[in-house]
Amino acid sequence: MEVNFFLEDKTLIVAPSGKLDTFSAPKFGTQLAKLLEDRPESCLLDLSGVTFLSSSGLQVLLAGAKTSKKEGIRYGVFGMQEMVNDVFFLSGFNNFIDSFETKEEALS
Amino acid sequence: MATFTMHLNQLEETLLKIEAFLGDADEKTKFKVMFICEELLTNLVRHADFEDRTPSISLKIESDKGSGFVMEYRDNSKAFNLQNHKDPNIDAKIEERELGGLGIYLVKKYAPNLEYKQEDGLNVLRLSL
Repeated sequence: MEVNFFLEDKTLIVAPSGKLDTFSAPKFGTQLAKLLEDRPESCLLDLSGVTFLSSSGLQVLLAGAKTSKKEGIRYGVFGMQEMVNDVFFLSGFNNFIDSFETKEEALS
Repeated sequence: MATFTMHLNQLEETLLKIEAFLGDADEKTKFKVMFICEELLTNLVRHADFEDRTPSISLKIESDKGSGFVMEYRDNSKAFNLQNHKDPNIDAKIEERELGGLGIYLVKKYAPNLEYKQEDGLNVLRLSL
């Protein structure tokens, strides 16, 4: 798994790619936690390159959402592939994480 | 049909072998099978209590024309019926959402016909999708 991140205006965009599974998720979690320490105004996860998501990956998304809520950071995800989207919705994460189809929608 | 046996330190290579076995099955089915395998096997490696026995874990996967895949999973850890595992409250607010418990919940969602029994001291799980 690779993780790219960059600032677009005041929004931090974090784009992991590959599998977010039991092996890669903890490392991504550490990276995301570190990026959120800088308290960007918003943080959007670009999940378009994520091909697999297990409960370990969900835990990272949830931990990021919890930190963002506490720190007042706007937090969302976009670009989920079909089955990643399925796992996300079945888990009820749509109740507290905004999800968008495209980056443009997420930024507006 | 393929049978995978695994030692506790072989989680990653076992999952890779299963993925290779699934080959060119359709992407959604493959995702679900890999999801179920990862959740079951990770759960076992992290939480199972084998008491004083040498861990024995096997997973048989058979492709099935009707449903896609039929899986039978066996291990000799302490009896654990995941049908009795408490589901997380997926309607909870973010403050109350806990980090654990989702894996088994989703396995049950993807394989609602899951059957558990104890047989010759083994946990036996059958499911299809």
